[in-house]
Amino acid sequence: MSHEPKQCWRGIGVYGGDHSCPRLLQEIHCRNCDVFRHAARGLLSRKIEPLPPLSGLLETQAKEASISVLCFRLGSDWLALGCEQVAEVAEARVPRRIAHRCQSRFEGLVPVRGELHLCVALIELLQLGARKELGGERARLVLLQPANAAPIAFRANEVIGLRRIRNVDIEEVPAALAPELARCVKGVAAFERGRLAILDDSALIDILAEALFA
Amino acid sequence: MSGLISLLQDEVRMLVAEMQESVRLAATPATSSAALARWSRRGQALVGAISVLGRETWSRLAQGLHQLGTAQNTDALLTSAVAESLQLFEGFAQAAEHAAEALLEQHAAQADALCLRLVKAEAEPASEDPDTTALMPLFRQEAEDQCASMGQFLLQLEQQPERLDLIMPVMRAAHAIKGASRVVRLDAAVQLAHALEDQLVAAQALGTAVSEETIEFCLANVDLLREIAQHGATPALLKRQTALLSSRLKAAAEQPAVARTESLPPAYAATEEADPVLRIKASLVGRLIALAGSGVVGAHRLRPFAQRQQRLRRDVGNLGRLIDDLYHRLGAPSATTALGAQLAELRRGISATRHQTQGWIDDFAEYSREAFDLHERIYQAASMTRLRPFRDLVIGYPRMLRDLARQLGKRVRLTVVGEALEVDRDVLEKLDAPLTHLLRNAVDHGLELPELRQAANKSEEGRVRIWATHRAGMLAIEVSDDGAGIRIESVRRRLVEQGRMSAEAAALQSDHALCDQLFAPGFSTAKEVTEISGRGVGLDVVREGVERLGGSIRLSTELGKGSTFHIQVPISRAVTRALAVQVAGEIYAFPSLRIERVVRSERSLIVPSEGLQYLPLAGRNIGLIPLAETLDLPSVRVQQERLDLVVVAHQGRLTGFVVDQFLGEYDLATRPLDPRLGRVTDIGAVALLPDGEPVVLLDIDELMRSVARSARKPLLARNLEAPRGQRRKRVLVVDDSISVRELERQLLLGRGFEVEVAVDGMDAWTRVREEPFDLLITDVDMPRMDGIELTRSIKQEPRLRAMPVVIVSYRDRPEDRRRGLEARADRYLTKADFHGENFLKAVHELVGDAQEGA
Repeated sequence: MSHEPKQCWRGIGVYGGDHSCPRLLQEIHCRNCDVFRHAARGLLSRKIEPLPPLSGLLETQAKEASISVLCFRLGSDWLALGCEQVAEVAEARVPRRIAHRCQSRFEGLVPVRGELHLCVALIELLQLGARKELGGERARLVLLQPANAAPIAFRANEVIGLRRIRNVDIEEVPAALAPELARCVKGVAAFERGRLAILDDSALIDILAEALFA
Repeated sequence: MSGLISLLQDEVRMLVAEMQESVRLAATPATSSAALARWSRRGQALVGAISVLGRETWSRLAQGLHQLGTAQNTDALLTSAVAESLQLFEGFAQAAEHAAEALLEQHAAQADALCLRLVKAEAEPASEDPDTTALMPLFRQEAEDQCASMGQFLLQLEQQPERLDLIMPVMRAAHAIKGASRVVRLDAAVQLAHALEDQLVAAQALGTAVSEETIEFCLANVDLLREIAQHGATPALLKRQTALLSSRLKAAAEQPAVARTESLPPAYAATEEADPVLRIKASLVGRLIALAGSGVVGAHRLRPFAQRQQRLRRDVGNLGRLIDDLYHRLGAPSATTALGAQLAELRRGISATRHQTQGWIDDFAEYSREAFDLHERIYQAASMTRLRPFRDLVIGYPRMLRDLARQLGKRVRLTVVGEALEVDRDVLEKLDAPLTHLLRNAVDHGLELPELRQAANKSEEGRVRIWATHRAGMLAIEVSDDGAGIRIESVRRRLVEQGRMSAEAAALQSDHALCDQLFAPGFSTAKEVTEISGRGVGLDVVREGVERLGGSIRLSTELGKGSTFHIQVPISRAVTRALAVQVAGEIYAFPSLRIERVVRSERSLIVPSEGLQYLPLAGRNIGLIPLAETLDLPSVRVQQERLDLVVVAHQGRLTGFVVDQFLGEYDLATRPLDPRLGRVTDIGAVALLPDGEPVVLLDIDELMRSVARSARKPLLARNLEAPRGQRRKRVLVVDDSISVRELERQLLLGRGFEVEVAVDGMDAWTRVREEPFDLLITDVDMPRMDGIELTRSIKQEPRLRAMPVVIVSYRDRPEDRRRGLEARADRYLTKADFHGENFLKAVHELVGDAQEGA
């Protein structure tokens, strides 16, 4: 059963054929026909070529190891965050300020899907701008849900979505980076919008949590 | 350290007495869980207090005692090791002050030995097959449900022993538990369930009314089953099981044997539960409700789209008219001409568009109506997950009262009306303690002994009734008994005896007012304090519990006939009616219940006086304060012609808060502020408006205190301006243990500081905001607000964050230390540090000397 079936259903049959097969008078449609049936069964029992070795595949993958990050902009700087930390990217809203807590980097409460979350002025924490610059059509609210901590949110000027950055493309942090930023950046890479600073997720979570006291 | 030891002895004496009582209560199944909870709390307090002495052996002994409470096994409390340990502590507490420490030295070896015995006394957990470990929680839940059901039926059977049809459901349940126990390999439970089944089959076969002994045995069996399911086959429980089964075997031997087959009679076939109950995580339900709420918000937002479409329709209509106009103006050219043809096409096009848009608009209107309706229903249904039937609360009461009555030699029957009433589960939970207390009171004090009842021409069996109903939007519950009633004269006399009232004043009090006095703390007309009730701490706690739910309670009584407690609570805790206002561009809300008046006033009517502003209204002058200022919300002061004010009353004074504008009154489903923010002054809770906007609910009492505080500020500032070098630094010490407080106070006084004390976190939080302090020393485990929350609240409050905070706790695990430092405490010390120089050294590092330039 290893010969190639002649695929009469394509030639004289109904599957792109000219309907000239005499058996059609009886069977009406190729699928009712024995020839078709046997050909189909034959497909399932034919011999196949051996698959390419997987080890080669894994090696290529290792060389191509990469991370998937959410890219967003604060002020004029692009930053990236591990996508596992991100729970949601929502419409940016001006946070509801809480009495007596207005001097800190904690901006207030924001509603996301019916729940209220704490919003922190990350742009100010990293010294990349002032919170009043966080408006505009493209502004978004990024809600983080860290593995062992409570959710926390911040506003960004723009969020362009997920990108995959290969590990080999990530370079050392340049010395000329501002101190606050340097604390939580683990590398920089180039991407479609210029330089991307890849953030250390746990350092970022810590910074956000501390902001409640600052 | 003068007086410190005797303070410590007093504290230990009180704690030991309560722990000994817990041991007594632990013996009765009905009170065992409450006993364990109390043991846990007191044990912890004992550990804290003993740590002051700095004697390791005794600290360890106290720890050992406390640990027993965490094992959730009441049997552990009933050992001799525990009794002896408590006796040792009692000895210390009762010794003469100067001899107390010597006593500790003397008995140190004994304490050591007891430590070891306590550790051994902890029950070994039943060895579990790894396969069955996953099934245990499910088994426990099923056992709990089945045992509760069996208990109910058995109690009913006890009341009506001739109703043999009640035996079947109990047998079914016993059979189910037997099977389940086999799966999780809990042999003791299998044996018990089998014995129970046997007993019931025999009872059924006899055909006569079920005997009291049989019921007793079955109830004891069910109790034991429940405990074994929860705690595993501990040695103590196994002992009880053997005792129970052998006693029954003896009795059975004296009865004719009943043939019994293993096969299931057809009646055992599992009946489908009419409406099965699910177990579901509370967080999931919370998320569901939040999502459903935002669905409603989303549906609301369809409205502007609908409006826009109406506009579109109008515009298209206008265009059509314009074209018609043009057609006629051009002399209505016929379709055969080029112009006419074009115009005709234009008109046809517009007409078609009009029709189509009309169709789409109608479809959309219907869709948005349906969507809105659907989302409303989803939200209602989701909110109903918070409701549970009243039955769930009262299910354990008949058994509790039956056992209690037996203990007292009385007879009681409990009836419940309104079992099916749906009540918010939070409200139900918080009603448990007050209702339990009232019921036990009714049996202990209300109902008379059977002989007395007979003499008074009443039935021997006392009647206690719980009646639950919805009334005027509230949940109304009546707990009544047909007992002896309360003698008003005794109440009157007692009030005078206790010195609460003069004889003349007491004589003038109406019966109603006197009944109300029964709710005062420390009042009790019971001749002796019994284990059951009547400790004089009962009714005031009941009232507090009810009032914390936002409800009220009153009592009516008739001598010889009985007493009734009337309770009213709001149906749901979580919903508050509030007036939303705009202030400094933010949305805040005043609870409607606390608003005196809402006023919109012309600026010209405001009267300035002594630097403040007043509005004369209805013969009074109302002081005005911008709300934004009180809340520290930066805003731009705009001179408006009209002012919107919310007038609030507090202790007879009226204050008008000036807001930007009123937004409307809403029923807000409130939720607490995120705990990471700590306590925020003036704020009670947060919520969402129907359009999805967050709104912050104000705490009116706090708000008024803030106002009062800022009025006093000029005076305080003057006090602080004492010439340099003469001001003594002020320290606030917070701890719920009096001995620890005293120790710290003495240490600090010795160094020349001025020291104030607070008894718990809430107390301290109020104090630090009222008066200036240079340093705060706080414990962690305290009621009402713990040390971590207190520290966090202080360190986040701009005006207080500069004050150093030292946490002193007996918890010394790394995670406890980390919690303290995460809350931004300046130092974290353990109670062991009192005995080195660490404590005073830390204080000196943080604030220096007690007096400037000293």
